[in-house]
Amino acid sequence: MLALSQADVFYGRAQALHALDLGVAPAEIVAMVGRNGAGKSTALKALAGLLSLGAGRRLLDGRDITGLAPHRTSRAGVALVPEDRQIFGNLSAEENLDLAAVSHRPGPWTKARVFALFPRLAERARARGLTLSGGEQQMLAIGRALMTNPRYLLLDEPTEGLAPVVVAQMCNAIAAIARDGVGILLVEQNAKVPRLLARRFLVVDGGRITWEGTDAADIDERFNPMNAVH
Amino acid sequence: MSTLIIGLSISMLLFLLAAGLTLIFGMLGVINFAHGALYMLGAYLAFQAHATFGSFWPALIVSPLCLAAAGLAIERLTLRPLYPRTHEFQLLATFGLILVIEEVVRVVWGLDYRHLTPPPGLTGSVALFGSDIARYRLFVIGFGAAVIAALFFGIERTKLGLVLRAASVNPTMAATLGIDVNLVRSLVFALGAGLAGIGGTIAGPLLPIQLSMGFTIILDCFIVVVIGGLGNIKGAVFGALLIGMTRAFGQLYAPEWIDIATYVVLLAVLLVRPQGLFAAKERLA
Repeated sequence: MLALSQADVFYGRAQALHALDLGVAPAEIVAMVGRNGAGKSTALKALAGLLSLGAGRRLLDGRDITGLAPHRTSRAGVALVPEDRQIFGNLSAEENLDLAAVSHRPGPWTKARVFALFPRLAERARARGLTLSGGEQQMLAIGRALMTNPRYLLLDEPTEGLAPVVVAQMCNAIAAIARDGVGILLVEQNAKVPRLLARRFLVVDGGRITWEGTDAADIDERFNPMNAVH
Repeated sequence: MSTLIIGLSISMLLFLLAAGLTLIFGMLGVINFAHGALYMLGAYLAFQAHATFGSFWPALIVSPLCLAAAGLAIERLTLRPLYPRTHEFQLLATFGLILVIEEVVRVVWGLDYRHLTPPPGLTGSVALFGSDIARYRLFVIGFGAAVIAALFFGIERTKLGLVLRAASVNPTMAATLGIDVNLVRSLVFALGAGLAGIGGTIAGPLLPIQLSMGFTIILDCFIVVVIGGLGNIKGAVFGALLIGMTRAFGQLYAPEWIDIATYVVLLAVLLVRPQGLFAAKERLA
């Protein structure tokens, strides 16, 4: 279980998360949906160790990792795919993958396996990161995270701005990764993709969890008050 | 012909320092004012090693290693606590280092000029293309070229180079992938200091070893780095060649105008390409 317990996060004096509780278990896909600025990315960054907690704890398989630095968090088995992908534009696609393996012991994920999951990356292996299309960059960002052999994968809007055919491909890949035993926390601004993948849903608003459940049928109304009015 | 050789040997010396400066800036975001002082310390340590072991070659190993170790300590003790602060703090810290290093050198070695003799086999000169050329200068050129090749290989083909290229562009993402960015910063500063140690040792037989030697060369090195584009090794190579040649040919034709000439070259480059000759949108190292 990777979890935040009663976590407060501040940007300067502005509080972004209020006593947030959330957790994801191995092989589980949990979806966190909410509006822009609701605190979804903040929660992921806090889990990855990129933001420190003002209060509360961060837990990994029962161990308190509240103060663990980002690189140690990664080595402990938590991988983040950030919203803007953050591909190294000056490195080739293959070098982006190699880089992620540098600080990690070998595990089930290898370059060959990433290329099998995203065949398009194999074709573009020598291309510099900044020449990749949005879809290719997203595949590379996920492949790169997998190269760290994570036990938990944090995906920040992985289908944002992608063509429908690529979105479908991405959904298949995410489902396959979870079947492999990796716990996935999936963040999206709407419930379209989460509904296809997740069993458990969290709605976040104003840095708080406002709804939690397994029935995604009317989730759009729950997380977007504007919809409820109509 | 001998002017060309002199120019190339000056270029190599400039490159050894400029490469360290540009690597440190690329990875740490710090302009290391103390780089000239490290080079000067390297020359004195080489002198001491030469006196102790009775040969030039041990000095070429001992001095860079000592400088690299000093670099590790300096980064950890003086720069690391200042990364969260603004650039002025780091500039002041490296400026303070100059004062400390100069004082240490003055106390240990005094104010007398020292010099190194070139190793046996590299003394005297050879006739080449109709002119007499100092053997030691040929060695400096060959050695400098080897260091350039090793740096390019290291940056482009090794894991450490890969980490360096990534972490200098986006340290946060590198850390998210498990890279210990603080360790990378320490290693890069140690590498830069080690290169300054190599430079100081190499300079020993060419120039008098004295307290002000670092200050004299570091201005040229800043010009080299700015011409090449900050944070860029390829730029440092070409900048060093440009300034080294300007110095050598200036010495031949108009010695009193040399300093002006180097600034004219700098101005000309900045007018045409304000970002430096090789600066890309993203840094190479």
